[in-house]
Amino acid sequence: MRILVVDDIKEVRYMLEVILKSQGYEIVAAENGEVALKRLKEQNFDLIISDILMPVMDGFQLCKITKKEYPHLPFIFYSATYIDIKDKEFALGLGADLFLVKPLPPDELLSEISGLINRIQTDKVETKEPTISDEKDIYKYYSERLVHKLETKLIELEKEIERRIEAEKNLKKIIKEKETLLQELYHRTKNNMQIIISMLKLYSRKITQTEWKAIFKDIENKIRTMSLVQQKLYESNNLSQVNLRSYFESLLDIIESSYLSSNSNIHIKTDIADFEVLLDTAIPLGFVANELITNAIKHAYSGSEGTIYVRLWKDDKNKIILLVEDEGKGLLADVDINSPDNLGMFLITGIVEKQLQGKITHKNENGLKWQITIAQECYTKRV
Amino acid sequence: MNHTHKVLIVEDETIVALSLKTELESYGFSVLEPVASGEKAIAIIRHECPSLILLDIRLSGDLTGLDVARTPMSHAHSGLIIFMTGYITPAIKAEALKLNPVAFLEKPVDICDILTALGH
Repeated sequence: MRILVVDDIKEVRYMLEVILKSQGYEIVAAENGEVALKRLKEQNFDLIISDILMPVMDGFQLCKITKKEYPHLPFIFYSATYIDIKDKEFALGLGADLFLVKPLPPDELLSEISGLINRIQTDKVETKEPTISDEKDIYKYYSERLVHKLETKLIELEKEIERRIEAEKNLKKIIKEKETLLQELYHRTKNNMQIIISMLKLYSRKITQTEWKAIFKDIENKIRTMSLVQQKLYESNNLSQVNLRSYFESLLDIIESSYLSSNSNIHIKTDIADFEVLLDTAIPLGFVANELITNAIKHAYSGSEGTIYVRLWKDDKNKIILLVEDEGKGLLADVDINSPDNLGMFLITGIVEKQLQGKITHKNENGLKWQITIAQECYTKRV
Repeated sequence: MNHTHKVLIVEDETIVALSLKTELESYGFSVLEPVASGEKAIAIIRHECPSLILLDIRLSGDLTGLDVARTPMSHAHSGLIIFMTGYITPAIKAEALKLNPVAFLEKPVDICDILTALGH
């Protein structure tokens, strides 16, 4: 028993093939009426199961032709799209033996098919003949059915478009809300940093010890460095990456305005490459640079004239290298930079080695020269 | 340093306002009692005619700093305005710049930025 399955949807052809093959039927599939006619010319079939709406040649046309050219070949319509009672009447009028509406449970589908085959083979019931034979009538009904189907499809499409327009409106609203929320968070973060700085300033005025005042100033300075990253992120319209050149240029402005008066004889020379890093790298790197540069300002030249060099670039292995160098008096013999008592150095060593998984080295000749080497990124991009 | 400016700080965060007041006073400015709302700011401006207004944009009350700057002041008043805000969008900045401020400062604001804006 060989069955020709005609449907433009691959999944439907596959499903029918699986169900029918399980019952021992031999299956040949075609994706439209025209291909089905070719298969009919190549070999004999015992049954056709066809969809209605298909490109190139639809099921109605296929039924009309096969009932004329293969009058004893049973024909089953198995369709789901925009069915109404007139489709069934027209299909049966064209000579279809059965009109089944998708989706049918496999058992029911099989029992309908085997019932039809039994009636034809065992009970010798003839397959149906077309009852609408007048070509004019056929075209009239055919056009009606097709127009009806297309109209229904059009209405369905219009509804779908409306649904999508509504969904798009909702999405735009959600995006707008998220943008506002982000704006609000950004504003609040900056505001909070301003409040912390203001508190430090107010308390700092109550303190008389110079050493404590310097600590408060350092903390304020570091909060400004962090606030700067926020600003750079916001300016770049990028939630996770910061341009290091732009960040370092602004960072140096802050350091200069905090620690160098306009008539200071310490100069800072920079050579910063133009590249971007993740926020998670930028913040600790900024912290380290801030500490090394302010240390150089405070200790390298003891009031005499001098230059501090800040260089930042990426080497050919994609590692980030930061150099902070001065030509001052260098580290004094009694300073142990690895001692936890030396808090600033203790922190930056920890940040470079643990947080950024990098290396920090220094040379103490003709001044103090720091080199920080870190891998491009220790974190993965989040946004 | 000797400054002739009479300053009004319009800022809803008390700590920020207080810190700015203390710092400005340490530089010799005469600073009025800070206000947190636009409504109060307008009243004080009409009364006191400050020569410099440090104006936050987001304030408590219904008015923003931009509204304050837009309000026609008494004819005797021709105070300079410095905007200072953390709430910056290109639209807000453009709107603020139309009002001819001496400076538009982003928070956290440093006293040095204010002095620089005033040409000190």
